Amino acid sequence: MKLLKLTATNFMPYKGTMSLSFPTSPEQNVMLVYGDNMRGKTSLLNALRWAFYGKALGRHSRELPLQDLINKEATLEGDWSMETCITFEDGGHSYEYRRRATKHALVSKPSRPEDFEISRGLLRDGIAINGYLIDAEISRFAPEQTSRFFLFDGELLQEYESLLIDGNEQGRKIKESIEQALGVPTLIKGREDAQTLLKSAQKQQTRDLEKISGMERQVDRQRVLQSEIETFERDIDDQEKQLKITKADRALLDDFIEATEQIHAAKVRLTANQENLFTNTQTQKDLEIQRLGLMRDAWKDFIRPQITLKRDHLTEENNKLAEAMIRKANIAGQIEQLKKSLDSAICHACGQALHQSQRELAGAELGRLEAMHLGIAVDEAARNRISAEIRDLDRLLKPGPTSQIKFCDKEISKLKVEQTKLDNEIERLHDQIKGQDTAEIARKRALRDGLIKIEGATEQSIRATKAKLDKNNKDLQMIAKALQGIPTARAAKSTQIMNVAGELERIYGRSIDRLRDDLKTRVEQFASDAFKALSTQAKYSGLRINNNYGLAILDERGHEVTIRSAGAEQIVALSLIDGLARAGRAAGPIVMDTPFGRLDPGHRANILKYLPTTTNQLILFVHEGEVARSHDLSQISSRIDSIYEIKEVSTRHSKIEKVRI
Amino acid sequence: MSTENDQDLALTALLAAATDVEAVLPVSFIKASYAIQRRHQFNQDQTISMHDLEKLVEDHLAQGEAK
Repeated sequence: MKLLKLTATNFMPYKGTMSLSFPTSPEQNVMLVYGDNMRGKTSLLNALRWAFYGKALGRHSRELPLQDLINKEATLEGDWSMETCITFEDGGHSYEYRRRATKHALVSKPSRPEDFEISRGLLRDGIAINGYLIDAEISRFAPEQTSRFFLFDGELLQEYESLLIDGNEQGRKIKESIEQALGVPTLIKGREDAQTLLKSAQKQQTRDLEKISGMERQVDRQRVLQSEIETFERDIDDQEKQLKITKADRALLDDFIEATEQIHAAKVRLTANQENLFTNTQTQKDLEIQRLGLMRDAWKDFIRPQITLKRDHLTEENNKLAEAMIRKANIAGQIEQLKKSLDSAICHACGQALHQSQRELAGAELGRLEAMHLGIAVDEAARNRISAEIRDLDRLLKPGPTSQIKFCDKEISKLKVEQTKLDNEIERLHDQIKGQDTAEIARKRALRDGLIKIEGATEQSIRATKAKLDKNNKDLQMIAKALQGIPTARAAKSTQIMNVAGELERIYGRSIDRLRDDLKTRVEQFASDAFKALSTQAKYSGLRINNNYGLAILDERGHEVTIRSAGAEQIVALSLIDGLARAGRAAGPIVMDTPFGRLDPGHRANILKYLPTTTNQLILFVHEGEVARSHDLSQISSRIDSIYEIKEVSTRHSKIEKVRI
Repeated sequence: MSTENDQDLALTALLAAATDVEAVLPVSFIKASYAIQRRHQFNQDQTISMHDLEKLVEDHLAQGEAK
């Protein structure tokens, strides 16, 4: 197929009519459309998609509602119509495919796709094709199922990484698209048709056998198995439909959750900060109460110096009294000894008899000591009073509350600083989530988690029912084999049809595995060739394909490179696209939107040099940062047919202009 | 963009699979069944290809009886 011209009216940012003429020369087969972000490059890809398939895709390949496709300025002026027209050639025929959407006359302001009337028309060599044949005609050369390989959104390149992960939903979808492009579904449908025919013949055989005596047991058994198979198939079908709905619902919730991730994170932080603030204020209150309690005893610290002084004085007095008491007791002891010596006339120290002179001396000493004893006055009551006073003062002098009050003040001060920070953060977070329904976000997150569980349970149930179905089918095959030995049964037409359908089913079943193996080998080879041409890293030896068509990079020793950069991922994805294109279909146009986002100049140069050689038309929607006109185009200048620029008229209106090369 | 590939990989795989399973069905019959699937590969209504296949099998059995 060769694209000739695209015309669009009021499509997305393109108010009024715009048109693009595609390159037709095999030598000059490259066209570039330059446009800054948000100007309408992806809208051009969507214009082609809408022209061919009546749909435009947004983020995550979600279909955009029709009312959002019509130029906003035009609708403000009351014009609720849009149209695309694509002209192209294929197989020696020329085609003109026109699609138009206009709001229904009775609708004042459309708000849903149903508010529009859609008409379309396909001319082949100037002759109109019947409406019901249009899809079949388009599918002959541009089937929608494989469109992602020629209407290529570079921003979705990273999706191809998911092919490397087993069980990944996105990867499964891409694998299906790949197999569509490579013809596997043709064989799958062949096997399904053979299976349907086989089942129908089995039922007919059961009816035929009813007429033959002695076959009652087989007939009953067949009937039970067939009935169960029908039930199992219905169950599987219902559950798969339900699973599809659940997955679609979950995908929408995933999008919503991703979009509100920051709000949710802010809400979680807000809740945590509010809890921290509560704890903070509570701790402050506790510390204030503790401080008040401490303040009750704080006066003691003010009179501490005076009390200390008083205590010292009392201690001194007490000591003096104690010394006097000890001295008086000692003297009393000496008096006692001397009195004993004088009474017995024997020295109490040496035990010798005292002479008269010695007795006189002892008498004089006794008199002196008795005088001294009388001279020492000991006030026992005063001493008790002083001791009691000292004990009272000691109680007042216990460690004071001042240090604890200081500790409380310091903690309260720290908490106040923290409180201010929390207040500010809470205010900022409140501003961030202002106007957002955080309860709704929380509800949808919980709902998403619930749907994931339902998905798992449904998948498990489908697996279990499929196992039962397989068993019943095997049992039916056993009966069919046994019937082959009975001439009357063998002769029945239904048995003959069963034999043909059964063999056809086996052939198609085997061919699917064979084709997949062949395709993987071919895609791996073609993609490896492309990768070697595109990669600037000489030590990479090629790519290895897995069951999902995911590609791993191989180093010079044939080992898988486990860590790949974003740029390397992009090169691998482009190699896969090229490998698929060459393995599964004849050369056609490739339209790429923003394909060079993460690539360095070396890789950009390789791609710009390589792609024009593997496709008959290469149409690139790029921005100046991806492909610089001043130097990136020099090496493919001879290949370039035309360059266009998207220019902003207003935020809701862009126009497209051809520029001189 | 056309899926009309000079080298029809799916048909090649189908014929090779017939050899693998030692099929007794003639190659012409297998090719005819494949042509039906190719013709209707992007048709959502699978009853059309099914009807064509039924007819093909009927014709095949009728030919066998005639012989």
